[in-house]
Amino acid sequence: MSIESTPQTKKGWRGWLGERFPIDVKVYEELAKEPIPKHMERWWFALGGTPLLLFAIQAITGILLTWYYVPRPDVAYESVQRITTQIPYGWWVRGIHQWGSQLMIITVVLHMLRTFTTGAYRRPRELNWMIGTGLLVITLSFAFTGYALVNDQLSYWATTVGTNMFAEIPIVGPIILQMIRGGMVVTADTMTRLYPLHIGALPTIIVTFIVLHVILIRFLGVTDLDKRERERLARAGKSAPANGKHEREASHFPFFPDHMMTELVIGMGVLIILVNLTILFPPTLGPHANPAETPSHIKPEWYFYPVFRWLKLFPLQLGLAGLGIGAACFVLWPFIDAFIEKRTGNRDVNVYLGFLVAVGAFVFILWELFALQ
Amino acid sequence: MDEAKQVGEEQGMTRRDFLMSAAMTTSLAASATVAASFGWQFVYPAVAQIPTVQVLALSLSKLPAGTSKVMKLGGNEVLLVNKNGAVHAISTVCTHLGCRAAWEESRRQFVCPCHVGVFDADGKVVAGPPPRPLGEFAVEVKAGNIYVAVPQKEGAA
Repeated sequence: MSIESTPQTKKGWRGWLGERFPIDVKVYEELAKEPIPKHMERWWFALGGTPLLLFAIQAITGILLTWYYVPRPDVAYESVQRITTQIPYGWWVRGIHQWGSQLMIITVVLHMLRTFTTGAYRRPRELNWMIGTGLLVITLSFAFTGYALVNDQLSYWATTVGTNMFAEIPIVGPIILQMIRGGMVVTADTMTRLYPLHIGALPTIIVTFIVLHVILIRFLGVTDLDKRERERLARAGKSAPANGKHEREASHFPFFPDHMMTELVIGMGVLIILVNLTILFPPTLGPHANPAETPSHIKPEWYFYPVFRWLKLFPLQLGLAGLGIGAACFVLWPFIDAFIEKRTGNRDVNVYLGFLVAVGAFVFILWELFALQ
Repeated sequence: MDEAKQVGEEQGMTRRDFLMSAAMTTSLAASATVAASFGWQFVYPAVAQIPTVQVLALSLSKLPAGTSKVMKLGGNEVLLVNKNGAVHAISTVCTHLGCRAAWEESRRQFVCPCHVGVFDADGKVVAGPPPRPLGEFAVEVKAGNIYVAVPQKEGAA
């Protein structure tokens, strides 16, 4: 049946719109009310929407900042200074953007930690886990390219160190380095390359990944952890698996409005934290970039501390190889986990490993925070 | 001929279809290659190698044997060392990840503030993660003056 032949069932503006935008609202209402497992009532399981909310805030504040920011090395620093000190509420917009990026990283990591430790990445959700790891990398790339644009001392040396790490990749490393920098060293061309990455390429990629992530969640549904646990107990001969419509009704609740409300409450909490952090700790600006001198106590933003400390501990090639192998294992973890389970029958490696990595990263952050060198 | 045509039709593709698809695929591949080549040249930096220039540093008489001096030459920070009459010009760019190692006269060592790489006065790695000694620039002593060949820096950010 073609759209033209669709009978106009409703009158007034609904009918007019329905004829020109032929979607059945009821289908979407049903989709929104789709039952989801009971364990999702806990806030720990409702963190997925928070990075999305923060991304929206980053997009809005980012667009506002581009109205005053000038991506030219000779004036970039001065334009950030102007935003921070002269433009009405410029400090606030910049502060929200700066703190928003940090909270976005925290919420993405918390969401991934929950997914990891509860094994929600297992078959058939391996691809969605990999998309999620991609989202973490993109979020960190946003942070890296973002603070490179300020053009203060931290920007310059973080860009120098960060881009130099690419140079160590065998064969293609030096080519990648020159592509990113626009030359052999960090120059004016580096900023004009990082700026479109930050405001154009990365937003396009992250939106694509978010859409794919959400589509896969909708297609595959969220992991029914209680059901999985019951099945595990049943396999162990401890109880019988419960089935049937009544059991499903008892163990599920509607996504809308119940779960949506949990997400909103968490979102409100995050917004309160964001605004308070911005007011209590307004954005600052370090000394102007000086390629001739590295400040004596230079450190990257705190979320890069684990990598920063790691690179202090090991020789360069070994340290970078360790990071590369770690990153590859992280992305491919669902398959590694399945392999371990097949070989040993152990399904709890993810719990111990997740805990270990989280504690390790936290210790590295504290170590770097309080270390003199 | 007819038999071949018949076989092609049975398989869902005639000779005409095949030739058409092959021509389109080849054209598309050729176009993509040309576009990729142009795109690569556009994004790849025009200045891939930094030219080297010889710069007058100072008179040899101002750097007696056993002394050293930190200087800025052509945008590069250089430690000039007179070791028993042989002059060496050591770069302060850390070989780990490119930060500036600072010369600490009191301990006569270079210390990189980024990942705490430590180098001695000859540029050799003493501690920390750097993979190799500090770089050294070519030095020439002409008519009692020290000349150092250093890379000509691009416009610094």
